[in-house]
Amino acid sequence: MTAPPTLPTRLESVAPEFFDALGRADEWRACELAVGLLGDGVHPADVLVGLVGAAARRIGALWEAGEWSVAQEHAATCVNERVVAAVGARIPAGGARGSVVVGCLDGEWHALPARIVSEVLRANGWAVTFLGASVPAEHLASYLHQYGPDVVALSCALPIHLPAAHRTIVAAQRTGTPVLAGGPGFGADGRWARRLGVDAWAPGPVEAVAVLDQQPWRGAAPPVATITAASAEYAGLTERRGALVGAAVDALEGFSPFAGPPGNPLGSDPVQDAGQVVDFLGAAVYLSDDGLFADYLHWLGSALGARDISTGGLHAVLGELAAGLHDFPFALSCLRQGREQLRPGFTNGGGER
Amino acid sequence: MDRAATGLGGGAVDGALPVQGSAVVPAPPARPAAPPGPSLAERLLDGIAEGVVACDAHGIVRSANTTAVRMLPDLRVGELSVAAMQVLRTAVADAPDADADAELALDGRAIAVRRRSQPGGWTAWHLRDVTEERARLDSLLAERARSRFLAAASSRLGLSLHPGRTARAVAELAADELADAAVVVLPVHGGTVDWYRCEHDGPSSVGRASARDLPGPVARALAGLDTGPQLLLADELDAEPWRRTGAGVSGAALMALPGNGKPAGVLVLLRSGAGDGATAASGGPDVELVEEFAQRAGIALAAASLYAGQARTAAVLKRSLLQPDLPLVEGVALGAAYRPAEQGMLIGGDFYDVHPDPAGRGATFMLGDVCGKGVGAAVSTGRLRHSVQALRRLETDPVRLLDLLNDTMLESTAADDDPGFATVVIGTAVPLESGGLRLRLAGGGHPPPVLVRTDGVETVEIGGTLVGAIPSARFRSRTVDLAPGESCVLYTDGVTEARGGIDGREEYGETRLTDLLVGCHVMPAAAIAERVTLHASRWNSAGARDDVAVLVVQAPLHAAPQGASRRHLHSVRAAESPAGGEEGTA
Repeated sequence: MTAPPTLPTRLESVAPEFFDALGRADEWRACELAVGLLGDGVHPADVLVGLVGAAARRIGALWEAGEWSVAQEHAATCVNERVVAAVGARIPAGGARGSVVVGCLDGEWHALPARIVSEVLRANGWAVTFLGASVPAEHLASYLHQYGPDVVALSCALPIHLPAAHRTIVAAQRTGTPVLAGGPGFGADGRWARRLGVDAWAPGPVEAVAVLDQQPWRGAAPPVATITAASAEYAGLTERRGALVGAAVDALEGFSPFAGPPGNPLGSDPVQDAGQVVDFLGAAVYLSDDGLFADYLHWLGSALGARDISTGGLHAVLGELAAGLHDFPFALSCLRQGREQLRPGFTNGGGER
Repeated sequence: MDRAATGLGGGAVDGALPVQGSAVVPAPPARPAAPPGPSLAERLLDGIAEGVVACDAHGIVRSANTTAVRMLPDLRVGELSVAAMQVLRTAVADAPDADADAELALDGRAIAVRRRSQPGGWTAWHLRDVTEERARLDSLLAERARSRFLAAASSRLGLSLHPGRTARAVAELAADELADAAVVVLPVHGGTVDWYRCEHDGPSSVGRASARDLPGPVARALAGLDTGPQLLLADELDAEPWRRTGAGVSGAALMALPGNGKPAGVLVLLRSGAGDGATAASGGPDVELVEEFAQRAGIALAAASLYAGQARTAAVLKRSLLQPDLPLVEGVALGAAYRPAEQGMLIGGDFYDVHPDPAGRGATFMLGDVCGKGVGAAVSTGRLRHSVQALRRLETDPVRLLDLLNDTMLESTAADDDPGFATVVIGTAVPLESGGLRLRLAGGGHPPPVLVRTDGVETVEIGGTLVGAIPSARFRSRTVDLAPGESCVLYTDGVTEARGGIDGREEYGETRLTDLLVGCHVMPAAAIAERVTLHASRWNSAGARDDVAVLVVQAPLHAAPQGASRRHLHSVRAAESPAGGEEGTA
């Protein structure tokens, strides 16, 4: 999401108190402030993008810097979602421009960006149905058959969900519905969205409105066997996932690779944390893009650094993966490049998430 | 033939042909004497289907075989034959080189012309009749285009099961291949029809029209009275959606799209006949193609309408089984999350419900799990929830409520074969003067609720037997107080029995759940519910899922401001439920 270049000054004056309310998980105060802006004549899209969206980015940054715990981040995000709903309730129902279904990909639980997109589209005259976080492909397909919207908009925050995204995109296109993809999970420039064959991509809610207005959204051509794009290594890696995670956890003697000083862990469960590393590797292999994994490790390295957590555990995991994937040339090259990202002082201005 | 042969005669050319005469006609070694009349080379040339003409450096025709003369009767050997040769020279006039290939039409035949320069300034012309060849190729290409169009139509029409989207696809396909604009009119429903129009390479539009305003031929086709192709008159084309655009539509053909017993719709093809009366009069591209397309379109529309009908019925029946929107209760913060095992369904065997106290003092809440999964289990949960809704008007004490529920379920299961027992937690939440909440929890064989307190978490063992299984079931209750910000988390076994881990068989377990909830007292109720569902779903790496339901009852940390509008908290849930979204036209 990109903030509009000039925020109404009213918005700027409210922002600090709004963020303070989020930090205290005071949903009443936060809603009151946001809705008050609407009363002052600020456009709902500006409130959603400039206030709520900006706060969401700040929450993410505070968590990444280790200043906020996971629970604090979840609490603030939850309140932020309530604010979106409160603002949304004051947007008159649209529909003149057409109908859009918005949803998150299966396994994608970051619903806030999709919620913001929903309400911004509604404020711009679209009839919007928000299907919520983690929409299974089957559920989406049956919904599309039932209600036949003009477009389905899918949000993805983390590239880890891209293999699942592919299934969902194909399922949607098989109902003849064009797919608009959005969110940083598809790559900062949307390159993975295009790889997966979406009909359009937009980096943020404001751009999504523009894209939807431009496109004629005429007959989506039926998808042509794009599944074959998946790298052959991906299938093997998926099969071995359990063994790889097991070996990594064993090597750490049951500790999480992200475990640090008590009370300040990035994650908590060794199996899930090691699983995340494997899944990012899987996504990189699926898309044949070693940059994806390198970006992830770069980001992870800085998040660990902010918490004074050694990257030793992570190195051990990468070592185990390399041993377990000795016959996977592409995965090995991903791991090799990934390790480069973890060298002290190594910067490449890598991926911002 | 004779005339041509003699015309060719003279023998002057024999041997004078600068062409590789010796190569073309190897000298017959065994024959002693040359045949009389035309030379051997000329007689051989006369025998081939290709026309051959040779001109010398002055442009005088020096040789022409029978086929060439048949194609160009004005051709005379020994003359310039300007008229005949001009036809050939014009055909290759654009060619940059002396050697050129072209095609020309002669008396309705397609002739391929090849010019080749020869030594001594001579020119050779080769003429080949390619009429049949071209016709075969054209029909092959046309046939291929037809099948490509029909194949593309079939694969696209088979995609959606939504009548509107299917109708739009029909209009788009027809507008791209069969007409300048196409309109699909769906059958009359409640006195109106829905139409979808698409321009050739242009935008599409949708609308609704009164059935009474339809032109006669459209109405008759929709009613199934006319099944074949019909024409619409110009004066019938003045209203939406068949209004003429731009260059003007000169005519329109329409065709019923055959459905199940009655037409599934009508396809109207509009053609701008400006300066092309022939196309419009002949009925457009190909009546057969239109009919074949109409067949496919009709099948797709009929299937979509059948599915829409079934889906509508299922949606109405399902509505009462969907998990309810949480009510707003003064002094009680609530949050819930739900993820059924059967992903396309939104319903399952887990359930929760919250009923505000009619006197305004807190609420009754419950969460449970009937045995089984899917639709059957969902129907049981609906019955159970409705029983509790009725029974709590008679009894608010959770234990006695469970007793009544047990008896009710036993009676109803005696009537049918459904085993229908359940595990349930029923509780009441009453706000305290201090700002906290007093909960009375009664349980029937359900996993123990977890309290998220400021200084840690604890589980509330309640015990009790399954509800609806045996007549003499015993239920107990526990009373706990929550300070502001503290929560009670109710969950179903789909959380703790989620299978995952390294081998995919390890249960998520109570310990992981309580560890997860440590420190969550800072979170709003809804965030806690989502967090639990999220982690259980993530843990569940191995395919088969169970239903998951989580209900969080929290003593609010921040009191709602007096008189604050509270309706905005509703819209979150409402937006999440697809059935609560836009409704198909009934």
